Amino acid sequence: MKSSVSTWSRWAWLAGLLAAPIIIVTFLISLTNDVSMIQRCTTALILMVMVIGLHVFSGNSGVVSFGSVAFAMIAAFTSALITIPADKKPSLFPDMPDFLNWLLSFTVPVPLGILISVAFTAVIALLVGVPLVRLSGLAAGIGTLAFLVVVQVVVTKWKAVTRGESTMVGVPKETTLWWALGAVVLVIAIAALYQVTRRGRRLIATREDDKAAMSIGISIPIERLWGWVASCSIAAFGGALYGHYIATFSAQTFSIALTFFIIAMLVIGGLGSLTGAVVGVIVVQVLAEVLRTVETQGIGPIPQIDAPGLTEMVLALILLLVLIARPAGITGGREITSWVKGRTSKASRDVDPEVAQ
Amino acid sequence: MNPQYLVDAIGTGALYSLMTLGLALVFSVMGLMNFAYGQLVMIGGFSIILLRSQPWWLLILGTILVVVFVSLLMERLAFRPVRNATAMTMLVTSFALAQFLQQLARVAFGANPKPLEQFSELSVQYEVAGLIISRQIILTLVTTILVLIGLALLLRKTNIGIQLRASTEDVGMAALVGIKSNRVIAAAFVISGTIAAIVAILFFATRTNVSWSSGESIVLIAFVGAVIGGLGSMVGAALGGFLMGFVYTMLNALLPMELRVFADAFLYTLVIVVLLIRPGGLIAAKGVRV
Repeated sequence: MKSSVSTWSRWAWLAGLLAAPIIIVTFLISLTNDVSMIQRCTTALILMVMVIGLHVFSGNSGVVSFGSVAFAMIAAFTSALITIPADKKPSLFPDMPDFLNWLLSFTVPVPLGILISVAFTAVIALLVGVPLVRLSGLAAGIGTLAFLVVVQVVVTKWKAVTRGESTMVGVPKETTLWWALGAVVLVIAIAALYQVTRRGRRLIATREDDKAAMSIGISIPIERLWGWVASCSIAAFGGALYGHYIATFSAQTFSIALTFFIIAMLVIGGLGSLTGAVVGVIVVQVLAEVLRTVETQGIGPIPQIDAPGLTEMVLALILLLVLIARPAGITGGREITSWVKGRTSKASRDVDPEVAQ
Repeated sequence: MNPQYLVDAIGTGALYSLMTLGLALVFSVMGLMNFAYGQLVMIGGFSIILLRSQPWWLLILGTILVVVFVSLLMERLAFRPVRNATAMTMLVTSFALAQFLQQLARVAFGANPKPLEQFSELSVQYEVAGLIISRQIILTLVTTILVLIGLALLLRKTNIGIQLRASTEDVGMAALVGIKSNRVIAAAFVISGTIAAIVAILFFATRTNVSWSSGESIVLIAFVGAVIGGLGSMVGAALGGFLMGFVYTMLNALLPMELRVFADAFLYTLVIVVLLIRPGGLIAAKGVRV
């Protein structure tokens, strides 16, 4: 009984300490009534859902994945297809293939649409996960990257269903700041629960020492598959929310560039900890927004600078400097609980080097 | 099947195998997948534009010097500090660097592609046994074979090449027996930069413009080619790159019209299948960290 009490308290501490500041800041931002501020905050929160999604697999298993954006894309398009009002569908999808014609006849409310699309994406994640989780290291990276390219090509070229380059339009725009906040709190709770309970601890064990993990009876493919499906479902959740936020999107929205941006946020925050995922998004997003403001209107003594690409260039340079200064990321892969409670989190990466050898 | 496709497929394959070699060499020495490699080719493209009016030997030499210089700079400023970090950190570092160089080119040369005057002497075509073969394809094939031979000689016969191969086997052990890691890694970046410059010349010889985003697709092909060929093995990298170019061209030629737009999807599905059957690549090097 004692261990289960400490598990729940670890969960509550981790999820609470991460969610509380985000809730407070979001409330403060909502009080400003500044439309552009609220937009930026909403975007950051949706990105946070996707980054936490990636953390659940890559952070806990140590296996790199480039595939999470592919699942976000599948969910965004699926949810769009079932939530666009039925009377608009025939003109938007005149060439819908016969076997998908039933999609045109109905419309579901957006929350249900998101739920269905996440479930559908989870099934796809399970199907492609069974072979993909057998790969590790760079082979896993390339395997998932190849999957992303395949999904991108199909979504771009299968015009009858996805509208290809003419972009998805008429998607109900319903994601608000509060939806995004709720989503972040929910996925923080899920991700924290996963990594303090048995299922997640097993996956973390395979990351720390695969042979030792196998020797105590942990099946690496099975644990990775659990993490993979959970991770892809969270990414799908983020993708569906994003689709209902921007309302107009195409395969280009879910690009390889977005993939790397998400990975960069995770690594800069500190790969291996949920805190790192949250911190990475906040740091990179705040930086990006400050730079974007300089480019469009200037801040204080800094005049407005008109050079397309300058924002991205300076952002990349700062990210580079952060990585050089702190290769293990800002948090060093440690959880927030390890500072607050003054003890080293067991989920952290800093294993005694001699034991690790 | 029209055998003309074979000629084109072999030409593309040869170019891709060169691209892959440059990336794979650095990986085998320091375990770094250098995403900024494609940007080296892009920078090579811009230096071709700047040197376009010069004699051909100056154009080639100048481009190689520029690209090698940037390659060395990359190693010294960005990759040396993260050399002992995890593979993921190195990967993201190279991604950030790629992004930086790309946006720098966008700021410096503008967002619109810069026109490149055609090399008319390269588009001369010969007809051999009913096949049309352009000078560009001949040049690509000859250069690829020369680079492969040159690289093999360099790695087997020269002192630095032997040190390079020793470091590929085991960096720590090589350092213990007195091989200076910094020198060897710098050498790898010089060779990788030289190859990137050669790729730039062959690649842009058939293009009409150079854009800040030109490097992206190149590094993707090289990255995938290196992994399916077999990481840490130079022969594997050359083979993997060749197959990427060859299979892609053939898919584009042979798929039925309505499926042709999905050629990339077929190619990358094949990549996944190859990885599942041989996770270490077609020619897996011994003891390489996969």
